[in-house]
Amino acid sequence: MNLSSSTIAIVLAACVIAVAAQAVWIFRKYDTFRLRRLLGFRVPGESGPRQKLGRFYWNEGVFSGEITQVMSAEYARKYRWLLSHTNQRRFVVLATTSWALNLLGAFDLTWSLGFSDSLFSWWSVLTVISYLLVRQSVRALADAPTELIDERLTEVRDSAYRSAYRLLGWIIPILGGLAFAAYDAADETLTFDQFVFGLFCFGFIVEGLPSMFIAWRGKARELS
Amino acid sequence: MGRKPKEETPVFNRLEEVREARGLSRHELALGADVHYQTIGYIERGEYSPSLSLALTIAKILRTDVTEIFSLEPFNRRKATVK
Repeated sequence: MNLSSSTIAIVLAACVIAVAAQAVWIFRKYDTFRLRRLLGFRVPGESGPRQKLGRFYWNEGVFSGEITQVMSAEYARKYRWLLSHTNQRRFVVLATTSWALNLLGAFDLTWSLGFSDSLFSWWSVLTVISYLLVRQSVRALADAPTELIDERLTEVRDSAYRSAYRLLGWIIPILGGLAFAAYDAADETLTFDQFVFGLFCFGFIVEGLPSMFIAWRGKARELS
Repeated sequence: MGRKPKEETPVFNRLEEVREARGLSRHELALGADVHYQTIGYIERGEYSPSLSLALTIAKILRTDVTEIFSLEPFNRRKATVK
């Protein structure tokens, strides 16, 4: 695989922008003046009720206020498109398909399907976007600390993680074995680009699969 | 992929009847029991069987006996009586 540096740059830029956008979204949505307070500056006259970020859970990477907000009925009404089970399944299908094509890229197979470098870069961006859609649609549950959710939601979350990592116990050895066999048969060594894409796909599936299970099963956020 | 879920003993309930007889909404009951509002809906539809502690909490909020709400046998279709 000969990925140009611009291709890798596009993928990395998409990841950075996605993370930055999420950080900005959280700060703007929950507490405009949080950074200012953290830095010790005075906050000018505030008008209207301000949502509190609350405690930060380091293991889960979320604020308690964030979870409370996304669990509310108001949020469910406002983001109906994001939380509907049909759309959640669409996000999962999109994420899985784009992930699979990226994985094929790591094995040099994507080009045999007629993908150009440029199309492949945008396809990678689509993978990041679809991943974020899946994560955002179930984030309230997938990242929620146990003390902020009830026993049913805890069971839904835990069973999704159990199923996902049980499946990964099969996926990773099989893909690893296939990769080893393919490179051994071709008498090739792994290039840096292939390694980067393999790592990208590995991180994506380990991080995203539990969320995909939650989204696919749809027991988390049906609108009732 | 995955294992077939183990068959569970069905738990019948008439939570909706009792709750409505008490004049409580799902949200109000959920707030009192410290659970998500959708969880009450799941219990009422029989899609989720609560733990013993949650069942007892719900019964306490509705000021009735837990066996008046939950049972291993189907309830008769009589209206819930509120004491």
